[in-house]
Amino acid sequence: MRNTTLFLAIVLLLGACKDKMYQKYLANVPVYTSYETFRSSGGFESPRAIDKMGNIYFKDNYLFVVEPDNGIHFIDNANPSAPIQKGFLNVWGAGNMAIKGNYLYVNSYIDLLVYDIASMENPTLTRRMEDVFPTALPTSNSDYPYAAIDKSKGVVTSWIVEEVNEEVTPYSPSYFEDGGIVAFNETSGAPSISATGIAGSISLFTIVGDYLYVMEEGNLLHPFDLTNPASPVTHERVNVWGTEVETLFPYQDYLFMGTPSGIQIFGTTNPKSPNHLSTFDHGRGCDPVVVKDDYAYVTVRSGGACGGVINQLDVINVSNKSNPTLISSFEMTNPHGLGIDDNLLFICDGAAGLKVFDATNPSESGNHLLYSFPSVQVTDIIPFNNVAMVIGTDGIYQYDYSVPGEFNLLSVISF
Amino acid sequence: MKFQLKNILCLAITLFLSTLGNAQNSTEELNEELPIGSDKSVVSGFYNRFDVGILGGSAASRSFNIVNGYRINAHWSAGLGLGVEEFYWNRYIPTYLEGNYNLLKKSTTPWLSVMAGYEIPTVSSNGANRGGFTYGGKVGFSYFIGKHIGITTSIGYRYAHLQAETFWTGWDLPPITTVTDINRYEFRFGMIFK
Repeated sequence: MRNTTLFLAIVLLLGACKDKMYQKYLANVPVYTSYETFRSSGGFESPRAIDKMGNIYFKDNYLFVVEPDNGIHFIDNANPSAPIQKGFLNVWGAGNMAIKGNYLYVNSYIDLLVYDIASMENPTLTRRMEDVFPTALPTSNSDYPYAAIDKSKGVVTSWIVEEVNEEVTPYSPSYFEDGGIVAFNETSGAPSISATGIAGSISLFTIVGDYLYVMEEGNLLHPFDLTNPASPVTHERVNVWGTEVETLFPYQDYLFMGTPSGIQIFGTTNPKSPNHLSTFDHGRGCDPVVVKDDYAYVTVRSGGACGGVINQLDVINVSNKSNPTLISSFEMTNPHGLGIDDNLLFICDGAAGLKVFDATNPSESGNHLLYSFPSVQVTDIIPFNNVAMVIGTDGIYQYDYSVPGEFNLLSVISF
Repeated sequence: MKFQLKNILCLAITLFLSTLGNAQNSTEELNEELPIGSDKSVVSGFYNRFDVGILGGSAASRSFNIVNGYRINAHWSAGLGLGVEEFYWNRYIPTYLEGNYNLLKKSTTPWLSVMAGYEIPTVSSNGANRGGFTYGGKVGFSYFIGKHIGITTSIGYRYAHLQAETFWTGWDLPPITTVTDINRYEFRFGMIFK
C-alpha cells in the first residue's frame, strides 16, 4: 500500500512537469464596447469638420463623405461652387455606404444599418441588421500584428498598440490569431445615376438591380435583397476565389472586382448568388476598376498592402465578359482611384496629382493627357454632370469641366 | 556562427580538462583497493562525473553533463558542471555550480544535490537566442565498482527560464520575445571517477 502511494505520488509529480511558452510582442490589441452601448449610439448631428478621408458617394445633389469608423458627412452639393455641410450621421464603424431610393445603407462594424433619407435634414434609422458582418473590425495600424479577439467581451470598436504577453503552445507557437479583418475600403461609379447613387472607385458596397452587394473579408460577396428597400433580406455569402477583393464596381448586370492580382467579373443572372465569369490577371498591385462602353479602365499601383512594383493604367475590352482582353497599358506614377464621364478619364495618380485623359479612343486614352494637377494629392473621384468631385488627404476639391478645354476649380472643403 | 564556434571550443576545452581531472586526485584516504560496493569511509578529494539523461515532462529532450568537483569532507562536495542540452529546437550549454550532500560517509552513498547556472545558447532556430537561468535539485546514488570508478544515477527536477527574440522579416518592428519556462523531471545515469 505504501509503495502504491509512493508510486502514485511520483507519477503525479512527474505529470506536473509542464513547459510553458509565452510570446511578447507589440500588437493591435482590441478595445471592446458592450453590445448594448454600441447599438444605442448614433444619430444625426450638426455638421462637423471632416477629420479623416474616406469613401465618397453622390446622389440627388448630395455628396456623402464617409469618415472611416465615425460616420457620414452630408453635403448639399446643389451648387458645387458653394457646397454646404448639412450634418453628420454618427455611425460607429462606418466604412462604406450605398443608396437606393430613399434608403441609405451603411455598415456599422458588425451590423448593417438602413436609414430613411427622404428628408436629408432628418435621416431616421429604420432597421439595424445585427451581426450580418460578424468579422468586421475597425481600421488599425497595419504595421502591427493583431492580438486575439474575444467576442464575448463586446464589439471591437478600436485598437490600441501595446505589448501583448500571451501563452502559446510550445510545440506549435501560433503567433497571432487574427479575427479576420474586414477592410471596407476602396469604388468610382459610372455616371448612370438613377434610383441609386454613384460611389467613388474605391468602395466595397455596390448596388446592381434590386441587390446590394457587400464584400466581406476580401473574398466573401454578401448579397442583400432590396426588393423592399426599407427591409433588406440577407442571402448566403458567395465565395470569391482568389486574392482579396479591394473594390466593387457595377456595370450593367455585372460586378467588376478589383483584386491585387487582377480583376474578376461576376454575373448577376441569379442575383442571390452571382457567378464567376472570368478573371483578368495583371501584375500585383492595388487596382480600382471602372467600366464604360465595354471598356474597363484599371489602375494598378504598387505599395501598401497590395505590394507589387507596377504603376500603370490598363485598358481592357470586356465586351465578352467571359474573355476580357487587354487592349493597352500606360505607365503611371502611383494611380489610386479613377472615374470616367463621357470621354474624359480621370485618374488620381499619387504624387503626380490629378490627371485627366481623353478617352475617345480607349486604346489610346493613356497617351492623351488633357490636364494635370500635380499639386492636388487625391485618392478618389466621382465625375458626374460636368463636375469632378475629388477627395484627397487634405480636402474635397470640385472642378468644372463643362467647357471643353477648361478645367476650373469650383470649391475646396479642407480637412 | 562565431558564437556557436566559440561555445563548441569552450565545451571541447572543458571536456579536455575534465579528462585531465580523471588522473589521481589528492585524497586524504583510500590508499588501498576497495572491493565492489565497498563502504570504506572517505574524507575528501576531486571527482569527475559524466552522465547522460532525459529531461521529461510535457516534452522530452536529451542532456549530457560533465562535472568536475571536490569532496570537501565526508558529507559535502561541490562542483562545476558543463553540458549539452536541447529545448525546442535550440541547443544550449548548461554551465552551473552544484552542491551535494552525501548521506553516508562512504564513496558508495545516496546523495542530495542542488544546482544553479545559465543555459548558454549555441544553435538557434528562431532568431536571437539569449538562453537563460536554470536551477534544479535531485537525489541520486553513487556506487563505486573500483577504487577510482563508480556508476551513478539520479532523479530530480529542472527549471530553466529561456528567452529568445524573433525578428520580423522586412518589417521595422520590435522583435517578438519568446519566453519559455522549462519544467522537467530528469533521469540521469553516468560514471563517476575520483
